[in-house]
Amino acid sequence: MTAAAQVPGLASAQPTTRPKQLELRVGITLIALVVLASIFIPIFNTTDPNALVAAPLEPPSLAHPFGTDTVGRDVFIRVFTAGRLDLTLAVLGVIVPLVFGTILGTVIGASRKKALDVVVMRFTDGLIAFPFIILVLMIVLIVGPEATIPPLPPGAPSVLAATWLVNWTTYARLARLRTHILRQEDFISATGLLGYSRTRVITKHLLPSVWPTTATFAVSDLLSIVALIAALPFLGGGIQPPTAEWGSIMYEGRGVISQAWWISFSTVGVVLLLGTGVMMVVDSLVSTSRRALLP
Amino acid sequence: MIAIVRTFWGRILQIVLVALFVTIGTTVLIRLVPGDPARSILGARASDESVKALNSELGLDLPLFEQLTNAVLNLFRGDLGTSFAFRGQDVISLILPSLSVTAALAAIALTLSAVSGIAVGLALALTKRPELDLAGRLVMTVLLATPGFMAGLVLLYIFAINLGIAPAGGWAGEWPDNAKYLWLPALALTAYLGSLVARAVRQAALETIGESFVQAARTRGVPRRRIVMRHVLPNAILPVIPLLGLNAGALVSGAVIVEAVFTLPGLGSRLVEAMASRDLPVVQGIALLAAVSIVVFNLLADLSNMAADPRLRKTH
Amino acid sequence: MTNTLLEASELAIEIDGRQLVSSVNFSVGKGSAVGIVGETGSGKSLTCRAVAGSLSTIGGRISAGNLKLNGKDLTDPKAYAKLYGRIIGLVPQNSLSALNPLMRIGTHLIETIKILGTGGGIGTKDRAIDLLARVGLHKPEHVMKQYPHQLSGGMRQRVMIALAIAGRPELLIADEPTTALDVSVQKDIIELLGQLTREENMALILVSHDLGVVSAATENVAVMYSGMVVEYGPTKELLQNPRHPYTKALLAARPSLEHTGRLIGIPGTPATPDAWPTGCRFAPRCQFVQDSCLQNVPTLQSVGSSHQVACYRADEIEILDNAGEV
Repeated sequence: MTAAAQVPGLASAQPTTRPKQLELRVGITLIALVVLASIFIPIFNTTDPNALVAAPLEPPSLAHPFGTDTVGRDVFIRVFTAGRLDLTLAVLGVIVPLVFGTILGTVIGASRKKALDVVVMRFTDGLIAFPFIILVLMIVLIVGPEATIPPLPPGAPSVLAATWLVNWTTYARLARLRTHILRQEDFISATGLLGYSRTRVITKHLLPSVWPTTATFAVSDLLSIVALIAALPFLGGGIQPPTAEWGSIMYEGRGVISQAWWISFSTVGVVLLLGTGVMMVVDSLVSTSRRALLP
Repeated sequence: MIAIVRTFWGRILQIVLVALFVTIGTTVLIRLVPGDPARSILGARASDESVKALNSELGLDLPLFEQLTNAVLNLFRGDLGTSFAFRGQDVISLILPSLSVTAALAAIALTLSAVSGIAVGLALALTKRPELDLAGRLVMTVLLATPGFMAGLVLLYIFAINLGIAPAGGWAGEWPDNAKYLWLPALALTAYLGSLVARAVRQAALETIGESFVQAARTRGVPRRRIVMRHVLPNAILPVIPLLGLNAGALVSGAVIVEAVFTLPGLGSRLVEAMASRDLPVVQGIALLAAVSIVVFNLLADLSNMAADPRLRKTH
Repeated sequence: MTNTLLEASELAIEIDGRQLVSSVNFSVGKGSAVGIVGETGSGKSLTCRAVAGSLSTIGGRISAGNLKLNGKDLTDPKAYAKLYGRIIGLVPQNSLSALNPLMRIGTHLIETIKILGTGGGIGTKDRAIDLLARVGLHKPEHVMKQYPHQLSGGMRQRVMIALAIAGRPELLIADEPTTALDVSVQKDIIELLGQLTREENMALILVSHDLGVVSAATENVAVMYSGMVVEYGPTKELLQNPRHPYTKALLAARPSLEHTGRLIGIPGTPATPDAWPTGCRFAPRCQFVQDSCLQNVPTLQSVGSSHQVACYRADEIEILDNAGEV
């Protein structure tokens, strides 16, 4: 509350790190909760996610904590089986663009050749103006909604192809921007004077400093990809039924929401737990909010 | 003035580039789509001759390069071609009604987000009770983690099904009755965008309060109310304009999905339909209009940003 | 009859429970000008904030002593609401961040004049233009329409002075008003402050780390070191006959255009509040230090009609000085 940190010399005495640590811990706990549940629940509860275990549209009970869906499958086991798939796809969907975009952006940022920079930036300009979902739908259409690469279910390759083709642009922009800032700092400009090779400057000096920026964005990107995968079934794309997937469970639930809210809402709840955790982790990594009081 | 003119022409150039990029991109992508568009229009039992005839009528048998030049030439004539599925119907006249639904939804969501976000953000920055600020930030964190269509599902259940104060979907087809069908989906989009605005305004307001001109105004005897309205608020709103510009694409994407949840006849349903029937000119047209409107929106954001911040206009 | 406008006695200031300034005594007569001089961390700016009522914004408060304006208590920050603009005017340190970047200069002035109700018979806008002319801005009508970023640092500081005197206050407080400015502009601003306060019969408190700056516009000056006033007296006398070793050193370390000899720095660095010595706080850096200096904190003692020094050896130093030993 006090703004004593504004007084030179007193800034270090302010315990500003504590609430952020708490935010980080709560965030990680929430994410871990969803991840661990998705890993272990299908191990201990051996119900087949596609088996018809009870009457359709049964409300939550002890036997079926999230109730049953339109054909009588157990929603509980379906939600957490879906969690495995959605989380795996999200991680795969983030890692490839993260690595490719970071390296490309750093190289472009470090390069003195303007041409490469202009070409890549104009390309990303064009992509950024494009409504992401339309591009993804088109790519899904090209790859084919039925395309499959075992062990991934039908529809997964098209989703991955779409995120890989589009998402690297954001990472490349971030990395390029960060590299431009770094280049003005002394320790990087000194490496030029010392005669270090370009490759060495990039791998030993630039990348280690660019990395944290793009990786932080990747955490929030995980959430966007989960949301994207879950949105596609509403638009006729994405993971094809009967595979359990968060989006297709919610889409199925939308049709019967007036009779069976639990089908959509159990999934919404789990995704919100995950999402809130992700937002908290991101906030704790980037935000600096110190309160000043209006006099 | 020079800065404004430069920004204006820069964005116009970007519009041209984006239009070219999208046209060429979609033409190439369409070539990559497996399957024969004419076959999917005429059905599996159509004769090879009729499929071939339709392909040549639609210009799909030309070499890729010729298709590209034709597409670009037509683009500059303002001609987006005719639909495959609705034979002979002009793509623009087919898309415009859907575009107006999506545009209305996005505009309402944008207004709601700006108004509620600014009010909440400013209130959280000004409150003298830290527990209120904390609670507000927690709610914002949860809302920021909520994709629009999930917020839509929750709102649909609460307002349309339980309370019955809104239709659970559909479209009236005429104003002002359409508003009845739009407010709930707009609210779903506001959950995320409004929180984003509120968070930015809160942060900017806190920074402004710490600035010495606020303190200086107080020491000239300016009352608290006027300090908030004339000094803190305008400075706190500044980052909202570029923020909305940056999120224009996300807003359109979100609107397209939320429309699906509320079964609104917007760009989303038109797109899904066109994709299913391989109606490629319509797909191309939607992509083009969406991309161009996002750049136009960004142009408006740039210009209003310059109008709001004198430091961005260099007058000498 | 009392001619005293502001009086500080045994003033102590703490931030977050740490006492950073203690036993500050000085007074400002109506229409007179007082300077406060010291280096960073000496407590001069905190003292200035205490007088200006802005300690609370940095989490500080007056923990002991008295502060009176026209005989009324000022130690409660709430007392200030009615004084700002009308009785107390402030000229801030950094003129760029002290103006709302989105508001025209004219709007700032008109806002202030309207609130203070000092338009007089000539109308708010004319009064605003008149104020800008009074602080030496050319083409005031044009300046009215400009935004803060379009003005130079010196022009902005003149605007800040115009805003501060808009309510015809009795006391003008300027906290390092020239630190952010070019050396060539500094002198003009200080002279303007001196001239305006004389013309309007305003009292002035001028805070600076530079004795030279203060000497151009003040009659009395207080020298602060490590949270205490170590010397206080008429500016002229202090400059010609400094009695505290710190004041002496400060004068010797001052660059000047007339004297081209070597500058003599002060060895060592000031003690931080955590490590204040038990005795005189300047003792570790003082060339005249003796045992008694390390035992107790010296208090201000009169050495002339209105000249006070907090040094056990002030008398000897003068003799040593005259003997040419230093």
